[in-house]
Parts: sequence; C-alpha cells; structure tokens
Amino acid sequence: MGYYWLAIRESPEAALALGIDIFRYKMVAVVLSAAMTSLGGVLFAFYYNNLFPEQVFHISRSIELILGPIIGGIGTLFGPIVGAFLLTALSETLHEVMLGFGIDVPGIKQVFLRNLPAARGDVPA
Amino acid sequence: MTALLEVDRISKSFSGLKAMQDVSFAVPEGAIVGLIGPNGAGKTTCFNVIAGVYRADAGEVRFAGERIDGWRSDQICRAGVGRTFQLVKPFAGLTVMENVVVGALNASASVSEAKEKAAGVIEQLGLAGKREQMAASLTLPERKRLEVARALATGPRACSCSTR
Repeated sequence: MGYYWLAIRESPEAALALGIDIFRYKMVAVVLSAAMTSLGGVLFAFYYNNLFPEQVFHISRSIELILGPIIGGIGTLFGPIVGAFLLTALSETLHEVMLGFGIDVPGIKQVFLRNLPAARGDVPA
Repeated sequence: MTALLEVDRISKSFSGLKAMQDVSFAVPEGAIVGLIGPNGAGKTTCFNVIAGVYRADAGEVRFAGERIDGWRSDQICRAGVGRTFQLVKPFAGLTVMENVVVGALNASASVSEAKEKAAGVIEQLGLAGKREQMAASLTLPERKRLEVARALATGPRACSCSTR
C-alpha cells in the first residue's frame, strides 16, 4: 500500500493508469491517520483527565505535532517516532537542567512555539 | 481472428469542438496496430477514451467482448488494457525499480512477486543498469522506456502507446 500512496502523491493520473483506485487508497490514508490521531487524543485525555479546545485545537499543538515528523524525517517509517522522542526528551531535559540552575523556564518546545508569530498572537491563529 | 479490442463508432466533442466522430477499428489479439494522423486529429483523445480518461459522447468500446466505455481508468487497467502517456509521467521521486513495481503490483499477489516481475520487465526494456536510479534523473528516451516498462508490468493483454 505504501507503493500506491507514493505513486498517488507523485502523479494521480499515472497511478490511475496503472490500475490504482486512488479514491480508495486516499480514503484508507485518511482513515488510518484519523485512527492514529484519535488514539493519541484518547491517551491525551486520560493522561490529563480533561480536554479544553485551546489545549487540543490551538495552532501551537498542530505545530508541535508536525515538528516530530519534520525533525525525524518526512517520508520515513520510523522518522516521526524518533523525532517525537528527540523533541520530548530535549524539551524535558532542558527544562530540568534549567530548573537545576534555579531558572524556571518552559521547555525548548514551548520557548520555540511561544515565539512563533501565530502563538504570540501577531497573526490570527 | 476475433478482435480483442473493438472501438465502435465513438465520438467525442469538447464544447462544440469535434475531436472524433464515428471512429471504428478493431485490434486482434497479438497484433500491432498503428493509429496515425496529423496534429489535432484526435489520436490521443481516442486513446484517452479507450483508457477511460474521457467518456465517449457516443459509441462503444469493447475489450474481450465486454463493454468498457464508462469504466474508470483503474478498472480498465485491471481488466487488461495498459497505456503510456504522450507526455511522460514517471513517478519522479521514485527509483526506476519502484516505478515498475507499482505497475507490477497490479498483477501480483505479493510485493516480492511484483519485484521479481518488475526486474524481468526492466531487463527486457534495457534499463537494468539504471534500476536504482531516480526516475527524475533519466533522459527523455529512457523515461519513455520506463513508461512502457511500467505499462507492461501491469500484465496487460492490450497496450496503447501514445506518442508523437
């Protein structure tokens, strides 16, 4: 199925000509993506015991989710997982290190995200 | 000899412009049939109607006795009609091997079988030395050969090759 998704991304017309039902495979991609996101949402809700719109629909949350795959490597199988681990570990470690120095600052992730124009409110979120 | 592919009085217009009118021909199994004409004669439109890209305004297209006009392109390909494009459309971000594997998956039960089939077609088309090269790096003649390889890998009984 990965080959089909790659082919559809490169040229939907050529993919159709090779017998690939592009509507079906695009639908499978959307369903799989939604299933994984909903699983993440369920775990998130259980972990924090609450859900607020600004917590889950804020643009910083979307950027945070996209940063993992970008750092790990888009188009790779384990890249997003590695990226998420790196990002979280870096964020938490730096936070703890700074606390050790007696400075209470948010993790690198939050620093980065808070300084984005959208997060500062310079542009509509 | 019974015709494998029959085009029976098909017509196609684009907003008043008649691209084809009452076109009929038959292609027997194993035959090589050429469709020639000047620019704008409607050759590519005819291929596009056969391949399901356009729906004919009138007429019928039959493949192995079954009407295929009105089917989607992917259904027509799976029925056994392969095609190449006049303006080549390789999957530029994939290697030559991956391009052909995508086609071969159509006629294979597993990825390993598709890879085996693709390797055979690549060898046949003289692209063996370039199989791990990205399609984007191929020359135009090589891209044309890759298109043919990809179409043949789908295991077609009939293949329409549009060129100019």
